Amino acid sequence: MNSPLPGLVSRGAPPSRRAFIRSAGYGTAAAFVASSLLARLKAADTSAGTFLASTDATDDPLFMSATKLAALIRAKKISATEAVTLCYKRIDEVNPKLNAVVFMCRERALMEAAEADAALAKGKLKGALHGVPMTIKDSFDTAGVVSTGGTLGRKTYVPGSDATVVARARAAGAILLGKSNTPEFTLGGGGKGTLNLIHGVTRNPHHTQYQPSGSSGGAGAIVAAGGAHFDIGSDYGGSIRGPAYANGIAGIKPTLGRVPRTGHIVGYGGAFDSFQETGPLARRVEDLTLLMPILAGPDWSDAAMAPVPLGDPAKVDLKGLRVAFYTTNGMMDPTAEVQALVNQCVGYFSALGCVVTDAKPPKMRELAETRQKFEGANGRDHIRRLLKKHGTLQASPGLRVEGDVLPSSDFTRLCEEMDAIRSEQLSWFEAYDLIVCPANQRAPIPLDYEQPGGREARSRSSYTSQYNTTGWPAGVVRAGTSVADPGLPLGIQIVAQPWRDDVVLAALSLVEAKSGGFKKPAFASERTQA
Amino acid sequence: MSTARPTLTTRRAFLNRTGLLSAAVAAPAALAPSVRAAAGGGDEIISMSATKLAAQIRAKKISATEAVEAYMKRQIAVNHKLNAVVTNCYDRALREAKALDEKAAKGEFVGALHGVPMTIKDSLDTEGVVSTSGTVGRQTFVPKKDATVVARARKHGAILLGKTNTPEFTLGGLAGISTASNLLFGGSHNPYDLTRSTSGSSGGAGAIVAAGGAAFDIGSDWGGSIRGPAHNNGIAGIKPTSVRLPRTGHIVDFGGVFDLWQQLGPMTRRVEDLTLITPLLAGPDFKDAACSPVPWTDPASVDLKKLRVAFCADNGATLPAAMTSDDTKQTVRQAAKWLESAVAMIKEDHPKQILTELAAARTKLTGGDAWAFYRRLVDKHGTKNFSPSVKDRMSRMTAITSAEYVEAWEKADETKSQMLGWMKAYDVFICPVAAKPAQPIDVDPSAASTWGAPGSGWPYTGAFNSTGWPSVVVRCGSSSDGRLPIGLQIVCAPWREDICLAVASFLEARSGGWQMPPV
Repeated sequence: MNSPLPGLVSRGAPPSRRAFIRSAGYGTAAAFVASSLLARLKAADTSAGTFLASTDATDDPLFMSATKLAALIRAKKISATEAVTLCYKRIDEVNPKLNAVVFMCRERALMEAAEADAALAKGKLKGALHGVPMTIKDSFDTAGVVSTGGTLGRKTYVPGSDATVVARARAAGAILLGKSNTPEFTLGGGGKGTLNLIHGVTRNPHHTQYQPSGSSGGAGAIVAAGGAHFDIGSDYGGSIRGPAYANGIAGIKPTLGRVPRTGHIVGYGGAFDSFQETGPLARRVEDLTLLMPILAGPDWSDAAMAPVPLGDPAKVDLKGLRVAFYTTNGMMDPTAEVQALVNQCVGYFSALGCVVTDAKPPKMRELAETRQKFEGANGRDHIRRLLKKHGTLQASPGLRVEGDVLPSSDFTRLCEEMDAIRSEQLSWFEAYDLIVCPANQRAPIPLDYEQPGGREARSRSSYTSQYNTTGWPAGVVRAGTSVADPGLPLGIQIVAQPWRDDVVLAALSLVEAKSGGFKKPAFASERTQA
Repeated sequence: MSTARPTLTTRRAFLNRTGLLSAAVAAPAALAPSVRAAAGGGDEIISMSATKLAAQIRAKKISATEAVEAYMKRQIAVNHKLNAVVTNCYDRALREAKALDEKAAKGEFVGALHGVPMTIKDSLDTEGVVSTSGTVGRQTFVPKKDATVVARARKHGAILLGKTNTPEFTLGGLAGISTASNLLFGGSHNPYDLTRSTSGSSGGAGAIVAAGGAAFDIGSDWGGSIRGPAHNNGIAGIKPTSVRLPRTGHIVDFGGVFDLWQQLGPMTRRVEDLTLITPLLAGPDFKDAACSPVPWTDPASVDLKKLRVAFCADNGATLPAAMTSDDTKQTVRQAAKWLESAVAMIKEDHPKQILTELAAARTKLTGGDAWAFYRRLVDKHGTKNFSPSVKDRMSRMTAITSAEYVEAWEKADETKSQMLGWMKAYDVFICPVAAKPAQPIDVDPSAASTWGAPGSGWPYTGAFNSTGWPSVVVRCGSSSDGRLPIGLQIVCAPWREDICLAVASFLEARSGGWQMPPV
């Protein structure tokens, strides 16, 4: 368990130093830092004041929530320098096994940490993330730090400014440790998880022979491994939710229009604009709640943003929710354990007194098929233009760059048909506040996994892209453990009506509280598939 | 915020949050501030603002029946000249008025528009009342449901008198007849000069509201279809921010490649009526999947002294400079002069290069599929004989490929983003609605089509459909002979209708705004 130090924060006796170090999982390397921490952590008060209060019982600074770490930094129980140093040591230890962090900015991070500590000493607080270490998916521009987007043409590209979400996290005090791996343009994984021609393949910390999923696979792996307190990903078909699922953490794809895409390698605009959202990945749901208001809102660049107020998840009355659930998308049934997990999670809501109904949005198959045709109508000309724009000659094998070009009258018709289904699905959703459904068709998959039926089957087996097409807010949190693939995490997907990101977060919190949510990864490497 | 079932996106919750529901429904007395502020527009039922009329009905000085009768009488008197109202439902209106008067007698008022007579553009579905949208296939079509905005206006007590003329699907027209016209009803006429155009596509709406034949109408705007008629007919109109109002029940409703260009909005004689009516119509309806619950801000809270204003009398980007009339330029300059001492900063500026690129991308997208989308509408509604102007247009167009189409879409969005960057330096942008006041209706049908020619289409308004920004039109001047109205556009950044309306109110007060036409 994550909590070998019961009561460290507000209850009970101080734990032994040995127990503390063991729990941190980084052995003697960080012991000296830890020893100086202990006395201070003992009396720490994480009551939040004007900030979000943490309910995380984890006392290991590497694995505690970002919310809790931020509170401890504010309380001067741990310094930003200590937090950053600990994370780098952890990255140094685990990254050779994971290949999740592909570029680091140590000097700057330590300098920023020292500045953060000096500022705090003078009583100055940058914001709610003061001193909290983060990594950022490499598809986002980071000022002064190489941002490849996984494409060879940007191998050494150093942006002049931060993507909006990165700038906002840094303005709130977060410290960038480095960049996390992503397939080319976030799109070139080709069913192989997170890999590209610059940095190679990323592995799952629960089992290094498994995929971390993609495209925010580096983000998912390093956050799960305790190397960063959060990351920011992008999600065009499941790229935040897939990695949150496979690495056993939490992630949210916010409502379309809530969080700007400015500075992402596939930025704002174009025909497929409405499918893409950016959002946080973290170990604990409370961190998503902390991060969402920091990242959300118009930025005078992404023209699709709407300043809809973000509700407070703490004010959502879960008991009154009308819950729809389904255990299959009707195209490819999930494995028995995934279906059982849905029922288990639905049980949490029934127990509260929620009305639960076995129901799913109409025409999910039609929507998936129409979207596929719509996206492919231009013969993937937009992908070839992306390659050209970034000066890439050799594309990733998994990146689809070819296709038949349809007449534009087909394209405009497909758009109308897709939107008509979106409207029909929205009407259906008026009767519910929440959907509880699979996040994936099966447990995380091995690195060399071949989907029977290939690309076509991969698309039918998607449980996430449906909610990119609709633009509804959708989150994933760990809720169980696979038996079929022993030790690998299983998560659940929670969806709410448009703009009700607060309802998604409140429901994810409930599932996390009941199921335990995140568990420290084992770094298994033996093939013990059942 | 309520801790009950989280239905923030329902209309009730949306209104609750913005404080409108309680103001408009639960506590009628709370309407007093906007009533008090009524500029009025006259003492006659048919000339006073909708806001003032609603207040008089509430104060029981005028009954709903009196209001309906006065407007009916006016419609009957003027419509044979204007051809603006194409279907009426007078009997139902009288019954509804009677029922509302009975409620009022008991002290019950159903909403902010209790007893206010309206007309509705014929492209919007009206339950029980023929809704043709100007297409032959719908000549006798009677919808079973009101369009969302119509249902909301009626729920607030507005009474439908009839439907107003629009070109086929709001996009077609008759070759040689440059006014709101179609094969079913012919063309509408401008109340300030019957030989001139009402503009389109909400041309019937603009003409009848200007002539005092309805307290308000609801139009749609895909390129300028609310703003053009508001300008030509000397009234006020708003194209709200893209996706603020649901398009459900409009002939071209939610969805498709042009989805974000289309907005619905009220057309009224007075700016205060836009302020009253727009928020009543806004908010998601669980059908229009693009509609967003962004809170509405009261224009009364806008501090003019803080505003940074850019204006342009002649943009020189989307049409040749010489095409804009001197009267139009003079109206812009006069408005700028009025504002000079009232705002923080005002200067002549416009993003010429960005507007040029935006117009190019828009033209490419508009004609990209050679109007296959129009042909699908024709087929869907069973029309065999469709708009001659569109037939002509189709014959001149060549479709681009999907690859070119997607690229043009990207380009348009990139330009949209640049526009936003430009607007960061200003709170308000003021410019003409059209190059000239209302023009003569009859043009030479044998002359070559102006489709795609410089200055054709919507040179001043289309940009703000592409960007989705809110734009309010109000009459700010007249042609030099004093006969024809000239309106201006007051444009703001997304979701800042409050600023548009505050500035429009100021300019209306200075210019006098709407004047009763001589018809």
